[in-house]
Amino acid sequence: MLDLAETAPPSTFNSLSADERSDAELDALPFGVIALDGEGVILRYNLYESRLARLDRNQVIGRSFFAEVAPCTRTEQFEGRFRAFVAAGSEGHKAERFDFVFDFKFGAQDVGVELVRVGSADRYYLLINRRRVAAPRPAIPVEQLAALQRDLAPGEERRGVLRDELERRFVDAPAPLFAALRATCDRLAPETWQVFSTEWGVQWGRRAAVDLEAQVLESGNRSLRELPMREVSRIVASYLAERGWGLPAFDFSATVEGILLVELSRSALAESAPRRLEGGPRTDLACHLVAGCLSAILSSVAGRRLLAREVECVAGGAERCSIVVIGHERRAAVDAVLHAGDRGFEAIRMALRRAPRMAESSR
Amino acid sequence: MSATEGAVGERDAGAPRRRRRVAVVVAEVTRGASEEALERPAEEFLEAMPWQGPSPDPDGLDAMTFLTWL
Repeated sequence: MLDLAETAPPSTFNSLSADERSDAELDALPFGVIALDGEGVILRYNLYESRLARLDRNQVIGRSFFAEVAPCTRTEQFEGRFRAFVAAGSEGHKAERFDFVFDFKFGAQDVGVELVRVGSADRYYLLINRRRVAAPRPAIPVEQLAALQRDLAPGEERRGVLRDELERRFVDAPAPLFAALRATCDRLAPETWQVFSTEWGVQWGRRAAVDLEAQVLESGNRSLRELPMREVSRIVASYLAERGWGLPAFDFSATVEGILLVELSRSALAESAPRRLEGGPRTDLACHLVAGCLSAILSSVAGRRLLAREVECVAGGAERCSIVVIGHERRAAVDAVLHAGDRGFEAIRMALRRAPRMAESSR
Repeated sequence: MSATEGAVGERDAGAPRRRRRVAVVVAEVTRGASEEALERPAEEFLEAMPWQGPSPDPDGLDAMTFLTWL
């Protein structure tokens, strides 16, 4: 599992470890990561880079970074530096840093670049930290601007392909798909549903946090955690609401007790959950996926490991879906209440009041 | 060609389908905190929360719980 301390800007990231990271780990980082071979052919391309460059990962892997994907880098300052870095071989520095401006057709991005050599392999990493996003620079010739998705795939088969406004491919996932997934799990391994869907939500939330950071950077050149709490709440709520998961509301009335309550109205998961049948599987808590997502996003903003647990759900007959967010250290107290069959925010609150203050386990 | 096939063919002949997310009005999604608190940077707001649980009042705890907390 990726340590949250590592989801920080490149200055605190051990750049020499980039090659040891899985693609999933690189996708959770809030800065761009591109791996090139010695000729400048793209080998790896993480989610943040894909989001800010508005390019499909599948379209850029195997292409020349300098010649095809980012012609704006065909300068002595960037490509020249890269060629010299490669030519120096193992005798050269392990890393170099420099500033640059990426010129896209949709805007200019002021970045800090770290060029890293990993081991003896013919593989080099670019770690790209966006500092500022601005309007396109008019003086840049169009042929020097970085490629758009449609430039890389002019003949893309359009049938069967959906793209959003940022050129990201997506699929329309109707509520019955999730009901079918739940039914499959109930049939094959019902005891795994909560763990599976929570972890799925956490993995989704890590990518959502990257997406939200990019969105905030583009709209105001700030990071999510610098924005007012009210604005962050609205952004997170909008992220879920605009995708049809329901509308979250943040209740801060128990923050002095270290508890944040999120109430989710019109939850798609709760409303698509299978009905409880006599002797059938329990369906009283259905929103683990959203809870996992919230825990990852809020952990990213808070810079510490938080836990979000659904404690009552419309699927189980409650009036609302309630998700509590607490420090991960207090997990056992909440899980004990839920395991005992108690539901609702007040039951959790009482249990946490009785539980001793926990030592900090991770940050 | 059936009516359904015709409809699909016509739509696909043009530009690719694009989705513009529906703007959902989420004007107010917070409660239980003061205006002043909600204007604080999120990092600062969340940092101030006692995530491990509030510090106990020594006068209100039995000895064993207090020692556990210590």
